[in-house]
Amino acid sequence: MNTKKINRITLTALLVLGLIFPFFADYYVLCIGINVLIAALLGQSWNIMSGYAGQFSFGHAVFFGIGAYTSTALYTMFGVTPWLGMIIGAGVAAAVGAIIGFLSFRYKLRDDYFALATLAFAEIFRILVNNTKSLGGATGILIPYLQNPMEYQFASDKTYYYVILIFVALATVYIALMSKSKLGLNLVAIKGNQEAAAALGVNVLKYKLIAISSSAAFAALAGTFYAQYYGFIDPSIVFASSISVEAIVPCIIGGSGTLYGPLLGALLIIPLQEICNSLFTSISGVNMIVYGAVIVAFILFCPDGIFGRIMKIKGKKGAKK
Amino acid sequence: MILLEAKDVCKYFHGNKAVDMVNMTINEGEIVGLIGANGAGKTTFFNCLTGYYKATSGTIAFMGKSIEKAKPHVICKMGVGRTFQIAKPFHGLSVLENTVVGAYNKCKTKSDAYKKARECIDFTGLGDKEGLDAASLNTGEQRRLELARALATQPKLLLLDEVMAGLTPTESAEMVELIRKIRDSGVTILMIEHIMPALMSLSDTVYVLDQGRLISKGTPEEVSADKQVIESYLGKSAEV
Repeated sequence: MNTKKINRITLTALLVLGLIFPFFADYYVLCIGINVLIAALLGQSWNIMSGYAGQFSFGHAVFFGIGAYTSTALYTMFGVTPWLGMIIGAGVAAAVGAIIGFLSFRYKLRDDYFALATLAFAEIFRILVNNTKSLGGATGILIPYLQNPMEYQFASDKTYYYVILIFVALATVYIALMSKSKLGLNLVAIKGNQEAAAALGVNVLKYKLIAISSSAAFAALAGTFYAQYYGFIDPSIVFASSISVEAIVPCIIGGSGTLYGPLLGALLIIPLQEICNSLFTSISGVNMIVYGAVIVAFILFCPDGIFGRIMKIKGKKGAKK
Repeated sequence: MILLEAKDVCKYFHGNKAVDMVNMTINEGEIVGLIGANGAGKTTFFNCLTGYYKATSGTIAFMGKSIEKAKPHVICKMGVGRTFQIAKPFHGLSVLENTVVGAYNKCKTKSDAYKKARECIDFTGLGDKEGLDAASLNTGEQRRLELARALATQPKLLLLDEVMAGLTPTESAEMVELIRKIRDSGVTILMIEHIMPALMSLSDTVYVLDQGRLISKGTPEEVSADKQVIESYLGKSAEV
């Protein structure tokens, strides 16, 4: 079985599952499905910048939050439809990403230090918005619910589900096209060794900025969706470090730098979270202990992620022949 | 025609003179050797030429254009390729894809880039390995991949930093042939090398660095007869 075949099987399985899932799910399970897809979109976003280009972000919440706040502020203050706000939010997030990237890379921040810088930026934005009265400050913004599809509001959760499914599909198609293009090769080369990449004529700074901006734009789409779906945002929700973690974990568990890794990762990690939450209600904290233990087990036994593991098993079988 | 001209190039690290007033002229079609003991400043000089370090003072011109302040990728675009002392294959990309990254330096379309990359892989003798992950190559193959990638950028001048280090005698001999083939294809070469027979047989001109300073230059015969060079680098055995 070659890589192409594995990819095709994974794609078909995920697509079929994604499309028919709402017909078999009750309200509660459908909510979990939507959360899986939000995590998948965040994971794919993180995948572009960190999985492919190797620029580890620990602050993806900054882009998620900017997406959520841009569309929500435009909607509640100026009546701009969140469909348009979503695109503006993605643009703003991409610009902020480029600025963060430019500042960090200009001062030659790399690896751990770059990761810390992204964490710092997420915190800066959280505190800024927390103290900005016109953006609702710490109390956040409640979005009036008009149930108007033109305003990115739907009567049925099924519709929300399919909307986020489309975004996840878009991100996945983007990565699929990217990974085989000049852009994708250059990003992987930069992850491998940026000096060597520059020696081959790759404008390292430019490609890093493209990676961080496009990654930011997808995270912002997830942010707007979150705001529209839950109808309420505040800085401690959308700029939270838990959001940044939610971008990282599916990608690493599923296989970072692989096309379907974040999707598989989200499919595993979010239901696991839910199961832990519902099983261990009597003693508080046990859910997180179990959840943490499972993640540790994954890191120990599956360091390349689920998809990386599949590829390795396949590689070994190929070698035996 | 003069391809590269370095004048009075200095590189200081906190007062430590790693490269001290080095002058070098490379003519088109030549193979120029650069030798010197470990720490003599050879790689630092390479890094100044290719934009990884900014020279503290001095000028460097490639085809008449000043490059001492240019960034590495710009210098590559202008036609200077290089390899690294420690091979740096991009893991997760196949041998072909590794080379395609270099080919995009000049190629505009995907099909051109892949065509150019295949050409370079065949040229360096990696043709049957194009689908393998670069991480799975052995040392000799990694060196060849470094060369293939650098060639794919279509350089006029190629800087080779110890491409024979760690190779078996057979592989070294093959590498000598390959370097000749590259020169014959019209690429000028500047190479750092510790394997003297290989370097002496290839080079038209040899430059010798010692503690950052240029202590000798000339044909391989002239340099290997130079007393100062023998003392500082080659050792007594070269006299025999």
